[in-house]
Amino acid sequence: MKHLDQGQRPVGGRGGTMRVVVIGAGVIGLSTALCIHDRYQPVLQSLDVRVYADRFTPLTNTDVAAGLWQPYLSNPSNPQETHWNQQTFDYLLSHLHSPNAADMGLALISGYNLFHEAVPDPSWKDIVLGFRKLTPRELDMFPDYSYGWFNTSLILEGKRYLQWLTERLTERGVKFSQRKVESLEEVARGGADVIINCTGVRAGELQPDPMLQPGRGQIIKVDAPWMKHFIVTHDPERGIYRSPYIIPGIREVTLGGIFQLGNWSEVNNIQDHKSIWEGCCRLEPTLKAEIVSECTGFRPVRPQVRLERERLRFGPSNTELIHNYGHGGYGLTIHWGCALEAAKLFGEVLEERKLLRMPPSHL
Amino acid sequence: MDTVRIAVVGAGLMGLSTAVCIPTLVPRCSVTVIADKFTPDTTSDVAAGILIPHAYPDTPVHKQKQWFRETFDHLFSIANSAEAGDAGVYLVSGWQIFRSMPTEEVPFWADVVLGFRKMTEAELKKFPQHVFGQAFTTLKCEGPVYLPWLEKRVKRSGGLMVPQRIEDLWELHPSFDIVVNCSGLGSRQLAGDSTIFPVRGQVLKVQAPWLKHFIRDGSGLTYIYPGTSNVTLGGTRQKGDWNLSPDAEISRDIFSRCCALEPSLHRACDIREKVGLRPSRPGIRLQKELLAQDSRRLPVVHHYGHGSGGFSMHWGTALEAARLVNECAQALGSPAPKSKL
Repeated sequence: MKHLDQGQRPVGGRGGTMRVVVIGAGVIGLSTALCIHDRYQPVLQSLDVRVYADRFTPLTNTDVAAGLWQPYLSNPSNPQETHWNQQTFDYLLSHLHSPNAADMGLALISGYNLFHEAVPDPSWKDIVLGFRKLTPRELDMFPDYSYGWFNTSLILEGKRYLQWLTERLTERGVKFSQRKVESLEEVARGGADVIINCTGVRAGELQPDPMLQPGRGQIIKVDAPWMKHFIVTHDPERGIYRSPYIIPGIREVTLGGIFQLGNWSEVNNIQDHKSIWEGCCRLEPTLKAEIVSECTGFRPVRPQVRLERERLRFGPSNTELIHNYGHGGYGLTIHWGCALEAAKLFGEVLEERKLLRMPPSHL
Repeated sequence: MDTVRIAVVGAGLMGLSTAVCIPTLVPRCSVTVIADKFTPDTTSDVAAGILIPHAYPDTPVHKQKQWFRETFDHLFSIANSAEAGDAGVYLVSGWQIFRSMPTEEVPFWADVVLGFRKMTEAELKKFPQHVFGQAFTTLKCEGPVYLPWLEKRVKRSGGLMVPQRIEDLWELHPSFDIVVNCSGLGSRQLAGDSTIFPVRGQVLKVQAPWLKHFIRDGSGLTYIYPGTSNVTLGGTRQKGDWNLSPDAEISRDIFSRCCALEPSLHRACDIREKVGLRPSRPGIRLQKELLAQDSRRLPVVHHYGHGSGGFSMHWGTALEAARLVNECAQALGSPAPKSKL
C-alpha cells in the first residue's frame, strides 16, 4: 500500500498523469514500452503510454531479422552490453517453459558457428547452452571450414514477437499511433512528459548522430523444413554478417550474408541475391528449396548502444528524453536488458520528480 | 550363367533396402518386390525414423554397433548431399533424458552419433523430473519420403514392384531362384516363426514447426521427434497387441506426457493418430534357410525382426542380407544337378 506524505502527492506532468511517448515500434520500442508499463503502472497514480511510429510490423527492421540470439564474437566496447545480452537470454529462457513460447515466436535452436581457423571462445559461451567445439566428423560436413562451435541458443522471430508485444501492450491499454514524427519538439509540445527514443537506424532524423550508420542487410526466406540447425560462418577478413548464414525460423529458413555500411538502398539487389544464394547453397548442399520472399533491412550500427538520458527544453517545459537505439545486428539479442535499463532510467526520472513514494523493487 | 531371379517378400524398410543392395552385390540378377502393402501403408511409414538404436538381447553388441555404424554413415552422406530432401534424411539434435541414473551412461553407439556428451546442469533445468541426460546429433529418416525414394532406386536398377499377398513362400517357386523374406510380422505365417510378436506403438503426428530438437525419455516410452512436415509424439509399447485402431484414451495420455516435457506443445494443432505394430524378436533374424519339399528346393534369406530398431539398423542388415543372397546365388551357379528339374 503506498503512503503519501504531506506535500508529496504524486504528480505527473499535467493533472496527475505521467505521459510517456515511445517513438518507434520495432523490438526496442515495443519491449521498452512493455517493460516500463509493467514496472511503473502499479506505482503511479496514472500512466499513459503511447507508441508513435511511421512503420509497424511487418514493415520494421525487426521483421527482417532472422532472430537468432547471438552477440558479436568480439567483446562489446561497453561491458554493460554483455550484461544486457545475458539478461535477455535469461528472460527468454524463462519463457520457454510456458505454453506461450510459440506465440512469442520463441524456440530453442542448436547449430554451428564455422571458421577458417581456430579462434578464442566468445564471451557468451557460458550464456548459451551446451557450448562446445566441433568434432572432426562434424567439420567434415563443411569442407570450406576447419574449426567451429556447437551450441544451443534461441530463436526469437521478429514478426511473431512484435505481434505478441503488440497484443500485450493493447491489453494494457497502450495506444498506438501511426505517424511520422518530424521532431522531438513536436512530441514534447504535444504533452509528453517523457519521450523514449527507439527510432533505430533513422534516429539521426530526429537528432543528428554521426556515430549511427545503416548496416544494410538483405535476406532470402526459403521453405526448407528439414533444416533444424543454424549455420553461421565467419570470415574475419570480410567482417561480421558478410559471410553466409542459414538460420531456421519457426516456419521459414533465413539465408543471409550481406552487410553494407552506409547503404540506404531499400531495393533488393540482384548481386546480393546471387551472393547469398551461392554462398548458402555451397554451405548447405541440401538447399534445393523454394524461395518464399526476399527483403532488405538496415541494422542500426553504432560503436555502442546509445542508452542514456537527455533533458529537453522547449519553452517553459522540461521533457525527459531517454535514448535507446543503435543496437546493430544484435537488437533481438540485447533488447530486454536494454528495456530494463531504460526502465531504470525512467525510474530515476520519477524519483527526481517525486512521483514515486517507494522504489519499485520494494513492492 | 542365367540371370538369378530374386523375389523380395515385403515392401517396408527391410524389403526395399535389401532390394536396393542386392544388385550391387549379385552379378546378373533380377529383383522383384512382392508385398500386400506398399508405402504409405507399411509399418515403416508410421515410425518416426530417428536413429537411436534399440538393444537386442540375442544379437552380439559388436554386430549391433557395426550395423548401426553402417546405417549411420550411409545416411549421413545422403543427409549432406543434394539428395537429402528427396530421400527424407536429415540431421537433428536433441536430448535423451533419464529420471534415474542409467546403468550405462555412455551407450555402445555414443561414438557413432555426432557430438555425444552429457547434458549440463543448465540444460537439465528444462527437465526438472530428470536427473541425467545425453545430448547428441543424430539422423532422422522419414518413412513416407524415404520409402518412395528407395522404390525409385529399385526401379531404376530394373527392379519390379508387384502388389500381391503371399500366403506361402512356396508360391514363389519355381518362378524365383531365391526368396528374401522381409515380411516382418508376416513371418509368423510365412516362416512359421513363433518368436516374433507385435509390440503395438501408438503415436500422434502434430503440427508444431517451432520444435527443432528431439526429446526422448530413456525408457523409450515418451518421445518427441520433429520431422519435415510434422512432429511425432509417442508412444506406447504394448506387447502382443495386434490392434491397429487408435485408442483415444492412449492419445490423450501420450499428449499429456509429451506436454509435460515440452509445454509449448499445448499450442500444437492438426493432431493425427497412427498405430504401428513393431515386428519384435529377441534378435534380428538374418539367416539362410534352404526350404525343401519333395524334390523342390527353395533358398530363402530371412531378414526380419528389427522391433523398435528398424531404421537404426536397416542399411547394415540389408547389406548383410544381400551378402547372404549372394552366397545363395553362388551356390546356385556351382555345379549342382539343377538340370534335373
